[in-house]
Amino acid sequence: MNRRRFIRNTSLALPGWLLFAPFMESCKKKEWLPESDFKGSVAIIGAGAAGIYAAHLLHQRGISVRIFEASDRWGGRIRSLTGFSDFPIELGAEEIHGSNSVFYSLVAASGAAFADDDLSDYAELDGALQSSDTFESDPDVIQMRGLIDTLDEYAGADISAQAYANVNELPERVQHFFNAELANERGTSLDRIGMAGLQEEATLWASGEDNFMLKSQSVLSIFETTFAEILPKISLNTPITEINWGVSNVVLTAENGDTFQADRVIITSSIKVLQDDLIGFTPSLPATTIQGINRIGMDRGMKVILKFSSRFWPDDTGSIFTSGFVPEYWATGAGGRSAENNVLTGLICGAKAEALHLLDIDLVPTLLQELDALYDGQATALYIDNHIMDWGNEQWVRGAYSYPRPGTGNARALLAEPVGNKLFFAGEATHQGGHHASVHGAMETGLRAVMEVLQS
Amino acid sequence: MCSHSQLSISGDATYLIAKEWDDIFRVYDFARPWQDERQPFLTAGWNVRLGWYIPVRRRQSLWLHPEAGWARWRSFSDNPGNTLFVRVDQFSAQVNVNFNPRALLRDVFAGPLGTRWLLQISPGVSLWQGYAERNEEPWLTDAAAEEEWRPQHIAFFASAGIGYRAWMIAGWAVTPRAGVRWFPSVELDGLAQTVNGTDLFGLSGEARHVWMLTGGLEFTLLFPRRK
Repeated sequence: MNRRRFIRNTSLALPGWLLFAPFMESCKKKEWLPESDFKGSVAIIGAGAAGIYAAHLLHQRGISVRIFEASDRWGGRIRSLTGFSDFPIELGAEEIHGSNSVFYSLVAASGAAFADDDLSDYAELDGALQSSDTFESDPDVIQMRGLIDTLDEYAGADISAQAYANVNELPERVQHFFNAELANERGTSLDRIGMAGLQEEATLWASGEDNFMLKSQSVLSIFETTFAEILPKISLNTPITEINWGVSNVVLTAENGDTFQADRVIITSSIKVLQDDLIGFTPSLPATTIQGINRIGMDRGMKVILKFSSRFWPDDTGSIFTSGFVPEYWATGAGGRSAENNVLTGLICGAKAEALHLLDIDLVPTLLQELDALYDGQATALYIDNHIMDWGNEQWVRGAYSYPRPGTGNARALLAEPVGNKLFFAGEATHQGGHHASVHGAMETGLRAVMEVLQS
Repeated sequence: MCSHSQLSISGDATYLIAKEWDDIFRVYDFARPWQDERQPFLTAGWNVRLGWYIPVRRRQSLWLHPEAGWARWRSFSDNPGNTLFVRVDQFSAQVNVNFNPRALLRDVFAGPLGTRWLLQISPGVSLWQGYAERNEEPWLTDAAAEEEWRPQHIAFFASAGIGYRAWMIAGWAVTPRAGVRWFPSVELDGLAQTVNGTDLFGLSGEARHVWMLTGGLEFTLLFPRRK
């Protein structure tokens, strides 16, 4: 090639080269594609966030999928109460934890608005409520915050958070606050939750620190819209009580004796359902899976919704931390969710929820008396109505959500391990990345199980 | 006109091959089928370099050519209520050995930069840095400390290339150049978590056998030789 021709060719090639990289990128495969090409059928046990999302992803890949839901409704621990106030009240999952998650993406894509979060917290200290402006400078609260903020640095033995508080001589006057923020919010009590698990969560958490609440839509309505094509694939009132995975196709037997077959099964039942052996496995699950199941905690948890004729708490109220039966209330209609803002939601988990369940007391008057003591007797006077959602009473849930006990260790990883290349466990309890006890965590395990199925 | 040493400035389009990073974006899209806009791969980028030609044996067209460079790749998607921007910068230093195989065997009396055709081989070192924004806010690894996700990694590389001294424009030699760099391993710690929000899926920010294809123009300023 002579110089003139080279220069001419180069001149022509140069624009081509500048387009080379975008062109090459356009040739790359865009889809996540596993090496194997699984085309079989998949049965999913449980129509909660993990199950529905997993079904959606499989359906998008053209894979035959069917969901078996034991109860008479889909959504799992996502449930809304409508008609009680002028906005939907979440009886289960309520907050969107962080903006870096599939759940946030799902909500954002739906166009749903978020409630304003410019609110203040109030905490009961020495028998009276203090706003965050005041209590954040309290030395005992500062010590408590220090213990929470340094969880990721914890390197001691896997003791309970209560033992950790005691070792650090956290004053009694803020221990209920510590319990609310560290244990009750995670579905249990200080004396039951383990420090190693809390450290792991603090270290691995990667979805972001901001929390969001929907303004006028329910979480369920967003699932209903996005996953509309999956809902007809759900068989309600079909508890699967026996799974035979020792044969070529997995055989599922429902409570009424009906049998179904599938090539793969994704089990998203709550950890308590597995612990209580509501589903039998033939052959038995591997010892490691059983270990995983039994080492994860899940306690009773309830939400108490109290409606009043008018609001008696300050307009900027977000959460209210009390030393009574309810570790944390929040002003459910705050942030622009309600025109009236006259509903409080109380979350009670762990030992307190179990005590309330066992004690033969009239719960609502007891809670109103406790609020009366903090708000000059206004609670009882303004009370109108209540709704109590006790997740421990739900036959096919049996608790709030999973938490790490002292000694839980790698139990979630053991549980998440596929069994015989046929059984795949999902659901928030199987999340090994610190996002258990959350909708996005449950969804992420659904995605993980789908990836495993497609690669099986 | 002859010269002792020459300044070079070059601009390249680049194509990055990092399979593990591609998989992170593939899973991001796979997990969010409701999002209309896909997250582009970190592949199409650009690279600018500044170098200096030092003659070693001009009669055999043998030159040393130290270069410092800056390359950048970006990935941005804009979905309702959810934008994700990921950027990777690479700062590199390398010492090219420029030669012409035929000229090595016999003396040549070519132009000021040696023969028209040149081959390059070089070792180099690079500093990689990641950065991300979600909804137009810097992504933080520690919100309390307002610590942004900016992982850094130093990686050595080997590169090879070819060029042709094609034009002279106002004292500048213009050289179309194409090359490839190979990095044994590049790690952007936390890339999987930053993009996907979790490391649950066995994805890693460590890419092995990263290839970087480059192609562009080099402009070499020919200083007049001092007498």
